[in-house]
This record gives sequence, structure tokens and C-alpha cells, in this order.
Amino acid sequence: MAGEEHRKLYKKSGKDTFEIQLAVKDSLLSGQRRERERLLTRKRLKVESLNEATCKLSAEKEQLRVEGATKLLKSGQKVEALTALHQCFARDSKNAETFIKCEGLPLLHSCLLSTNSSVLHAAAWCSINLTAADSHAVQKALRLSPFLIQFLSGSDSTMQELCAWAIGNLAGDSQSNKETLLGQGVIPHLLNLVSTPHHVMVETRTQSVLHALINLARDTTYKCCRCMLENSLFSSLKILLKEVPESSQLCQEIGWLTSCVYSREEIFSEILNANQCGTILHLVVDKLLHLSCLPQDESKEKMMIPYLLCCGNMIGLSTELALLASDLPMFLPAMKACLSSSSNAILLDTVWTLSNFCAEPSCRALVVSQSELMSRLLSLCNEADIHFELLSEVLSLMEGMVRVSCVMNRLLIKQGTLENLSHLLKNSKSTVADKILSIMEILLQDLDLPQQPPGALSYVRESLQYLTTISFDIKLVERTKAVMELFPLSTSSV
Amino acid sequence: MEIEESYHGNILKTLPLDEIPKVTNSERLVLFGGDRELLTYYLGIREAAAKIRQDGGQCFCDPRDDKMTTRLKAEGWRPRVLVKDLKNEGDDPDLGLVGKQTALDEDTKKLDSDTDSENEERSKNRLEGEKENKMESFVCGVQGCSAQFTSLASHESHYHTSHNFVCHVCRRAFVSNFLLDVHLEENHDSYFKVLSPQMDMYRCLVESCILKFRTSDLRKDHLVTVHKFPAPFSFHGPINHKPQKAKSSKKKSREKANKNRNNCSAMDMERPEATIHEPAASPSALNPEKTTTYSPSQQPTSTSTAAMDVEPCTEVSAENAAPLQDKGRHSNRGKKWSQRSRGRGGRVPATICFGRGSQRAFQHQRGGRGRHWHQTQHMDVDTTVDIEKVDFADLAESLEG
Repeated sequence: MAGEEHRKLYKKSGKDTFEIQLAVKDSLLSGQRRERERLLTRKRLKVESLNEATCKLSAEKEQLRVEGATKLLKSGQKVEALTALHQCFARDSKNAETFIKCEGLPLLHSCLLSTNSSVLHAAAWCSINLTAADSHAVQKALRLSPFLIQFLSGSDSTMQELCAWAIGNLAGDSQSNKETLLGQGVIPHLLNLVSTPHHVMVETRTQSVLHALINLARDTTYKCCRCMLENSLFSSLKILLKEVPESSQLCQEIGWLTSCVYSREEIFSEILNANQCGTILHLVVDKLLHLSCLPQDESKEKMMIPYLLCCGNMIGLSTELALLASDLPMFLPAMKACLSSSSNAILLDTVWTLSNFCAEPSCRALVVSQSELMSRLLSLCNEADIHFELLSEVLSLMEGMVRVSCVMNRLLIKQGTLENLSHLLKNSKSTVADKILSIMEILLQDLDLPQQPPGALSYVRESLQYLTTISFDIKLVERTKAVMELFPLSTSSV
Repeated sequence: MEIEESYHGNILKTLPLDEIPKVTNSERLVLFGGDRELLTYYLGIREAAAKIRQDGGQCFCDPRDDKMTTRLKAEGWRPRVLVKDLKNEGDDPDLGLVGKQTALDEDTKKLDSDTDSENEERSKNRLEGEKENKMESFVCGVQGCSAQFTSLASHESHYHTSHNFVCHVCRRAFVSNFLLDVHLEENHDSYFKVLSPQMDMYRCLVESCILKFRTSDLRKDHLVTVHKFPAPFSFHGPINHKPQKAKSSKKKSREKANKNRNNCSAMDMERPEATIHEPAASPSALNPEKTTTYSPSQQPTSTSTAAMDVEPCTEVSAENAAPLQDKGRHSNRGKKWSQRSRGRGGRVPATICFGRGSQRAFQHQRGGRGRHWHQTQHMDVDTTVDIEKVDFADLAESLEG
């Protein structure tokens, strides 16, 4: 007994055979359980080839994918890893955060220093999607900008295209990024790539460069635009507007760039740019006319809108440019062509452009004297499916048209404006009736009765009478009666 | 942004450029439907309005029509001009104005949108196209490059990346002509080396920035603070990606040590006969790794800037070591006696004694083993002997005996 106690104190007691067997069995079972779970997890997380993946993966799968690709990048399989990362970033922008957390940016940076062109291209593709991610990730990715900029002045056109794309994404993220890129001297390099007709012909690269320039031109401080203008943007735009055919998809980007730069008020405060604006306006109007002749499809609207915006803004910001537009042979034909479009967006922007154009009284007189243009505007109002916003804009334009001179008003009456407005009055809502009545009021005040054929105004009078019977708005009824009183007594019996 | 007044000052004081076409009078007449009266009226309004603007006034209607002028004054009506601010507008993907664009794989995009039969057709066409475009592989061959390619596009990319802006001296490849220029100037231009301590020669790495700096560190500070470059940046890695062996770093440190030594004790190189010759050729003595003397012309050039810095090619060729070996350069001069004795190997333990009473063989004596008097004494000892004064008596006695 004492021996046993002593033994217990100083020696470890061994286990029973039975206990040992149990322990072994338990460990075997737990090992099998772990193995089974591991296999099940792998099966659940198994993803088919990325090319066949048509749906987004779950957040867990995406994270595993990104981590795996980052490890692959560290191990040296750069092209495969970068391709996988590029696809991960395209699927979900949150993958960029995961990549950055895994300290992938220094690895990407080292890939951009590689002398292997396949690695460089893969790294550039990866950078594009990384810079298209959320703002937080893009701020970190901004560290890549000096290297991306250096490739712009290289000789590999593929790298130039990809780096310009990535720089465009960086610029589009925030104003601070635009300023940083400006400070790093990106603009001269970008403009160099569109400085000659030969450069411009590389369409994919030009598209990327324009994407970057557009995003930079949208800066709020005008510094980027000034830098562009100092680095011969004007001559580059001349080449782009003249050389690129209307069938090219580049027209859209060229339009946006022109619009973003030359629609700014700051442009007109610098006399250096004054002569440039006239040339740009002429080229924009010319392009607009050619684009309006393209067959109607979705891309036509996208291509025309930036040119309309540029035209409308330039004319609105400068009276001299409005007068210059009135002297351009293709301006009015371009406006007519745009008004014949079936796109509501184009119609709205065209009417807006004409409103800015008609701020100058001589330009208003010019538009009034174009009977085709006026009849098209009025027929727009009478279309059944016209948008309310468009109708309102056209009527606002008409309000200006009747305020040029009495001579012009008589011309408007001669063109049948009163009849058109009466027809509109019958079918329109009360919200626009007030505008129509104010226009009719001014026209009736300038009415030259001896020159009117008999029965000419009966339709107008009937319309006004009809309005007084159907309308429940007391003010509108009173207003209508006031307008009816403007009719001379001799016409009341007709 | 709505502007009530659309009139700015006369900014177009000069005529527009001649290249802008203007409508002629005959074309204008056509615009007015041949109505000369109307055309005359229009030109009249234009002239009258321009005159008022020149005088600094504003007109919103025909200034010659008093009725309309009075009407507008009474109404307070002014033309409305609206300018659309594009810089503050958000993205409009429908119109194609987007801040960021993601690059999708063409295959993924097409697979998402097309049916299976179209996919099969496309893959068939792709295979046929690949067969047509498949070329035999060819070697680059530029400057001995052995890279192989199967398409011209890949070769072109490789050429632009690896062979276009290459330094002819150190074979480093650069991304652009500007960086290559800067590298050549700062690393391989003796004129730069002479002038750089005296004036600002380090160019800013932003091409459009004309500033220069005295040192590369100042340049780096400028890049980080003004141009907002990331602090730990470098523009290229080494061309030669061979792993640097440990001895090269040791060699570097020895180089530096010997540089100073060489500078202050050039006479060591200029007097080959002064070096000590060791008859026993122990490997350590002749180990080229331990030869540390270099000729001044072989001193490595310093690298330029942190931004441009690449591990320099400082591999020591065996050719440099060979002549030193032949002349029996040793590496033990300057070492302590204890180090030298350890260097001898100590083949026989000191406890072993051969013969009773005899001196211990192989016992190392102070002053080194096997050194003759001319190896231990100062070199300035005069060893000349006058033969006339030598006493040959002992020699004569021994010969007679």
C-alpha cells in the first residue's frame, strides 16, 4: 500500500488497455470527421472555371479566390494570378479591398516593373479593374499612378492604352485624385497620344486616352482644363473633330471632351481662348449635322447629346458665339435635323439650345423667319405622346418668339401660329394653358385686322370659348375671357 | 446654373479665324425664302442691337420697336439662358458619361449574353482563326535575346518592353526615353559627375517639371511633397535577376574598406615586390575571395538616386584576382600573430614531444614559423657586404682539416 502510494507520487500512472483503445478510436473518429468536413467544405466552395461563372460568387468564395490569387502572385505565377485577380475585381469591387488587405499592392507594383511583356500587360489589366473599385480602395491604388504615367510615354501602344484606361478610372474617382494626377504631369503625356492623325487612328488607345481626359476635364477647379489648353488641346480637338468619321464610336468621347472643356464659363474669361471657341463651335455644329444623318439607333442619341450640350452651353455663355452661330451655314439645318429626331432627350436639348440661341433678339428674328422650324416646333407641341417637359420648354421658347417686334408677330400670325396654339389649347392641361394664353394675348394685341382673311380667327375664338366651358379653374376662365375681349368687335359675329 | 443675363463683354474683339465658313448674302436670302424685305429687316435688328451692346446697354427686343420695348419694360421680361454644368453632374451610363469603366473579359461577356449554339459557332470560328494565324515560333534575336514567340504582336510587345529603351552601358531597360536619358546622364556621364557637387543637376522625374536638384534625396523629397509620389517608389528593377550571392556583399564591404586603404596607401599597389611571398600555398591565402586589392580603375561607380537605384553589377571577375594570385599576394599582412598561427593549422599538438631532452619539434616560435631573417626584419636593413673585409680564416682551417 505504502509502495503504491509512493509510486503514485513519483511515477505517472499508465492507462488501461481499454482506455488506450478508446482514446485511439476517438482520435480516429475525430480525424475522419475533420477530413469529411474538409472535403465537404471544398466541394461547397468549389467554383467552376471563371469563364463559365455567370453569377456572382458569395462573399466567402470571393475572398478565398482573391487570397488564393494573391498567394499565387507571391509564389511567382504572375500572369495566372494577375488574370484571376483582374476577373475577381470585375465581378465584385469589394475584392479590391481584400487584395489590398493581403498586401497585394506592392506585388502589383513589382509586376509593373517587370521586363516581361506578358506580366506587364496582365498587371495593367489588373490595375484597370482595381482602379474601378470603391473609392477607399482606389485611394490606395493611387500609388500606382507614377508608373502608369511613365508607360504613357513609352512605345508599347497596348500598355499606353491600358494605363490610360486605369488613369481615367483614377481621375474619375474624386477631385483630389484629379489634382494629384495633374501634379504628376499626366496631361502632356495623354495629349501627346492624340496629337497627330496617326496617333488618333489607334482607336482603342484613343478611346482610353479620351476617357482619361474627360474625367480630368470634369474637375471643379478648372486647373486641369487650363493645363490641357496650355498643352495644345485645341489642336488635338481639331484633329479629332475633323479626322474621326461619324461612324466611329470615338465620336461620343470626343463630344464629351469638347463639351466638358468648352462649356465652362472660365474659358470665356481668357481672351487667348476666344478665337478657339469660334472654330470649335463650327466643328461641333458640323459634326452634329453629320451625326443627325446617321440611321436612327441607340448609339446615335448617345453620340449627338454631347455635341448638343456643347453647342447650347457655348451659345448661352457668349452672345458673340450666338451671332457666330447665326452666320454658320449649317447651324439652322442642324437644328432642323435634330428637331426631326424621335428621341426625347435630343428634342429637349435642341429646344434648350434654341432657347439659348434666341436670347439675342436678332437670332430670335432669324428663327421666327424660318417657317419650317417654327412649324416643326408647333407640331411637336401637338403630338399626342409629347412629354410634358418638352411641351413646357417649347412654349417657353414661343414666349420669347412673340417678344421680338410687332413685325415678327404679324409674321407668326401669318404662319398660322394662332391656329396651332388654339388646337393645343383644346387638348392641353390647365398648367400649360396659362402659357398658351399669354402667347395668344401678345399676338392678338399685334393683330393687323385688315390683313386677315374673313373667318380666319373663328377657329381661335371657338377654342377659347370651348375652354371657358370645360375648365373648372376660375382664374383660367377669367383669363380666357380677357383674351377673348382682345378680339375686335367685327370678328365676334364671324 | 441659370443665368439671367447672357451677355458678356466683347471678348471676340478680333475676327474669328478665316477657316470658319460664313453664310453668304445669297445663302441668307434663300434662308429667308427670297424675301428681301424680311432679310433687310433682320440685318437692321442685328445692327441696332450690336450698336446698343457696343454702347454698353442691353436690348431684349428690336430697339426700333417702341411698342415692344415699352411692353417688355412693363412686364420686366428677360430672355432665359440656362447653362448645364457638366463637371458637377454625376455619371450617366445611358449617355456614356461614366467616371470608371471596368474591363471585362470578352469571353465572359459573350457567354453571358449568347445562346449555346452561338457559343459553339464562335468557338469553332475562333479555332479556325487560330489555325490560320498560327505561325512557326521564332526567336527574338535582338542583341542576342533568345526569347521565342509565335505571334508578331507578342514579339512587338516584348521588343517595346525589353529592347527599346535600353542603356548600352549597363543593359538596364527603361519604360521611356526620358527615364533612359536621366539614367545615362546621372550614371554614365562624367560631365555630370564633375558638375553635380557644384550645381543642381538632378532633374525632376516629372517630365513637365523643369526643376533640378543638388542631390537625389532632395529630388525624392520634391517628388513626394510636390508631385505626391508614393514615398517608397522606384522606377525599375534590375535586369539581371540572378540572386546575389553572399560573397558579393562581403566583397562590397571589402571594396569599401580597401577603397579607403587604396586611396591612402596607393604605394601598396605600386610596389608589387613589397608584398610578402608565402612558399606554403595554403588555400586560404590564395583564395580569391579574400583578395581585396583593386586597381583604382576597377572601383565600382556609385548609383544615382533612390528612385533610379538598382543593385549595381559589382560581380568581381576572376581576371582581377588572377594577377594578384600569380604574384603571390597574401592576405595575412596586418593580421595578428595569434590569427596567423591559427591559420597555420596547428598540425602537431604542442603536448607531443620527440625525444627526451630534445626541443619540441614543430614548436612554433615567436615571430612565426619558418620565417627567415629577411621576412621579419624591417625592409630598410642594409644587407650589402664588402667582400674585401670578410675574414676567411675559419673557412681556411676547415678546408685544411
